[in-house]
Amino acid sequence: MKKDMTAIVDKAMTKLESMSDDEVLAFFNQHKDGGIFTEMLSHGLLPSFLDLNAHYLLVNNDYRQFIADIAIASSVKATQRSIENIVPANNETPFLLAA
Amino acid sequence: MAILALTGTHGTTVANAEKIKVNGFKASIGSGAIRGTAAYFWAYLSHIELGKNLALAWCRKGNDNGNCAAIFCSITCDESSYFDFEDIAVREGFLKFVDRLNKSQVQLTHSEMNELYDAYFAFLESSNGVACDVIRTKIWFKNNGVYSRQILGDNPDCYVVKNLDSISVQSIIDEDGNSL
Repeated sequence: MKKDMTAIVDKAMTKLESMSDDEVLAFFNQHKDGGIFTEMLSHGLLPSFLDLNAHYLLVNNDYRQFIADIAIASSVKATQRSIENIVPANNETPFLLAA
Repeated sequence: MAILALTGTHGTTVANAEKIKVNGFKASIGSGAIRGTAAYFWAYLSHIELGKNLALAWCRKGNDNGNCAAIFCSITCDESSYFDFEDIAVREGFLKFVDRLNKSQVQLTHSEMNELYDAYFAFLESSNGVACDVIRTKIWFKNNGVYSRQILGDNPDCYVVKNLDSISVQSIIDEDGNSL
């Protein structure tokens, strides 16, 4: 099958050239998660997630891997269980994150 | 635009195949993905053995106990939401996008590469007002054993499916050819 992709890419590149470096970076940061943030937010998981992330950045400095580790194949039910499992009730540093 | 009916196979363990049969596919993310957040399929047209053997070989690569399965799927999407990453315009667009982020010469992790793919395809979507549901690309699968390197090469065709609703499981077989 053959579809002319040139016009689509040209339109995107024209927009890219019109954007400032900060705008390009902002777009990247907003979309680099492949929609996982949006999905978690829609299920009310993001506040817990962000609390954990602050810890994780300090320990591993690998924000993206953190998402991959806990958001098991983007299954929200599994994600919620994972979060509950790694957040101690006393709000200390999650033990899995310190490993 | 025409509706495209694509066919592909997904290789995984028998246990995972049983879960997929019941719950459907989940998108691979982070280090589990290759060209961004999506479900991945070996592309074939009429060469069913090719699709089956690539799927089983992919599963065996990371699974020594031999309980592998090939999931045959149909993937339906509008032609407007089908992108070809092997098209030189699409690939060059990706390189220009990476250049603007000053990551051209940076050693990136697997997860960081997936971030770039996710963001690039999102950029194509937003700048054109179209969905990017299915992407054809070539995936590095060295020594896959299905055909020799001279015949098939190390990069078989693959469908990267971002819209999971477009996937329909047709059949599942294990390594002995039994239906699951």
